[in-house]
Amino acid sequence: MRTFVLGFGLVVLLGGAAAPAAAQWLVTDARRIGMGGLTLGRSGSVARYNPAYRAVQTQAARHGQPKLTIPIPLGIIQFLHDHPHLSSDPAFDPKSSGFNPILVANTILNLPLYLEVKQAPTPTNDVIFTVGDTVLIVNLGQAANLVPQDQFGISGSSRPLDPGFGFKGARVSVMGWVHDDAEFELGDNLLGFLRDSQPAQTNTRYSALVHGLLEAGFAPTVSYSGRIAGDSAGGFYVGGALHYYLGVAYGRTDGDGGFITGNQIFTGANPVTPDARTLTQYSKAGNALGHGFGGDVGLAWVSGPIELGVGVNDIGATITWPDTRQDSAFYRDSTVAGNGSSVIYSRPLQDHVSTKTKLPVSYIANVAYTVGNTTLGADVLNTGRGSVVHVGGEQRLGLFAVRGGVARDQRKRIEFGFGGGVRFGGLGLDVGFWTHTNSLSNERGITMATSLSIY
Amino acid sequence: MRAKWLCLVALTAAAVGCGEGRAIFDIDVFSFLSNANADTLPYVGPLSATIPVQTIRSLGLGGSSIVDTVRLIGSVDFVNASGTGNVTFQVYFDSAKSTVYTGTPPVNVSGAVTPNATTTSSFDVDIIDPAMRRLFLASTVYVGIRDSASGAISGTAKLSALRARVVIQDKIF
Repeated sequence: MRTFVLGFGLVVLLGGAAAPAAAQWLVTDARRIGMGGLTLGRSGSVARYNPAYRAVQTQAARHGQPKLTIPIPLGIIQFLHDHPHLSSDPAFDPKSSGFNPILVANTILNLPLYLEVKQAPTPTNDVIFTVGDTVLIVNLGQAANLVPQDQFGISGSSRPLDPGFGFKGARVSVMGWVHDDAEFELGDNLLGFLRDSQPAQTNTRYSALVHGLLEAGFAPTVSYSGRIAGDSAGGFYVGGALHYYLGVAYGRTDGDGGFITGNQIFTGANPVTPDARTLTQYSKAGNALGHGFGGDVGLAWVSGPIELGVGVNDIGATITWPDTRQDSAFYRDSTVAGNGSSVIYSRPLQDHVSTKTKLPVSYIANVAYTVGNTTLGADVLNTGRGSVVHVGGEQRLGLFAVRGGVARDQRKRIEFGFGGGVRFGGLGLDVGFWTHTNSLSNERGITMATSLSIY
Repeated sequence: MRAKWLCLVALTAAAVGCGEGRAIFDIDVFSFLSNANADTLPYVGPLSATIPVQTIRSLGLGGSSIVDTVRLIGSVDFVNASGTGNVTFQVYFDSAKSTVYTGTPPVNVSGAVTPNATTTSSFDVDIIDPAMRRLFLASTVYVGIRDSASGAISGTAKLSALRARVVIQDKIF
């Protein structure tokens, strides 16, 4: 039972943490955190998603941008204090009965780089189960609001490597790419049962849809970025890239699992029948490579104190996998219901067939305004699963800087950032605070990030 | 398996949602007895009578949960036909069917009856015995009813409500 409980907890945790994780993943710059996650200049997401920015000069002085940021992971000290014997900690030992995969997943999703200044509390409402001969009602109280009504999950595409060479704005490279997508959606019956406290019904299927996809490969790329108008002080920049995606391997599953209630909810020896089905498709490494074309475009305009940019990635990136195997799996343990024999099988459906996948189109729009020692900015980033918005600014006051910002994450929750820094010549120390909410609470916690900056 | 699947789905959601809150299980014991036509028991003094032991499909929480409180709340009507005296009504619970009537009944209520009158006795019992409390963590609980009359009286004891309210502390994680 504990396994099942932990499993469900993991699903919710992953779903709930996915959005903020995607938005905040591995942001180690305390300066950026102090501005609510805002990307300025050629840092962070702007250069990744807008190819025109490869041609925009760094403008380091104008944005107070350091050449190098080194995180100071104070959170690790806190983590090691909380878990002094990590190697023998049963919560992290899969072989131990005290193994807690939720804690492990939470640690991975929220790497303990930051110092947790204020913990986000979890709700403590009572949950009421009404059980009768033919009745089962669950009232989760306020926690019912945490049951996702819509599809939720984790997805994203990344480009871990892009080695190449260029000349006068043109560039030839080979880009590595990875796309992952995990989705989960409760069926109407299960949703009504958990969220709306609807009584469990007899002879009814309670289920959830599950989708998972992982694909990776490399892409020979030809790109160009350059200034087509203006001068080094200000101008209009364009960028574009054409990728020929070559897929090394992919796997995908689309399933639907749950159980079917019997003629009675509680009486009778076997009131429910487990029921699941899935279609699995995969192309292993060594099979014929997947292939497809796609492109990136970007524009940037710099004029005096104003900077604007728009970038779109993976346009039309549909990948054809010529050598895919498809398996159909079905499970219904009728022995539980006592009305038939157990049926469990996985049946090869088709082999060596052609299938297609599609990389999500990502886009970013950003604006920055710098006057004197003040920098203000905003950006909107969408990587295929909702938009993340950052608005923030920085005021430099001699040796010191103060920062503030607001972010709206993919769950449409508002988070706040604030912080400051001090700079001595070429070295700076920055501290940033960021509010956050976890999937179990609407109240905010606060984390603190620290980093050294080299100018 | 019993009703575990449904309960597990509910429990997992609760475990995720309730943090350090409590899980409260409101078990309508009466519905199990009523649907088995075991909610009514004639009495003829000075003899005692019992119903066949009935089965409650309960929570199946296992042994790791900590039971905070268990309360048994209900009401019984003594529909008296003749005679004057006292009727005792007892409810038994056990984890084994064969020993239901050998233990101490957690519910022991009596009513003074008069001819051709109905006496209603309500009860609200807080179970103190830890072993009895833990009984309600099992997926199957057996229940029995016994009534007895003190004198030459006869009638029918009709159970009209019986709920077990089980509060457990969330120690799932």
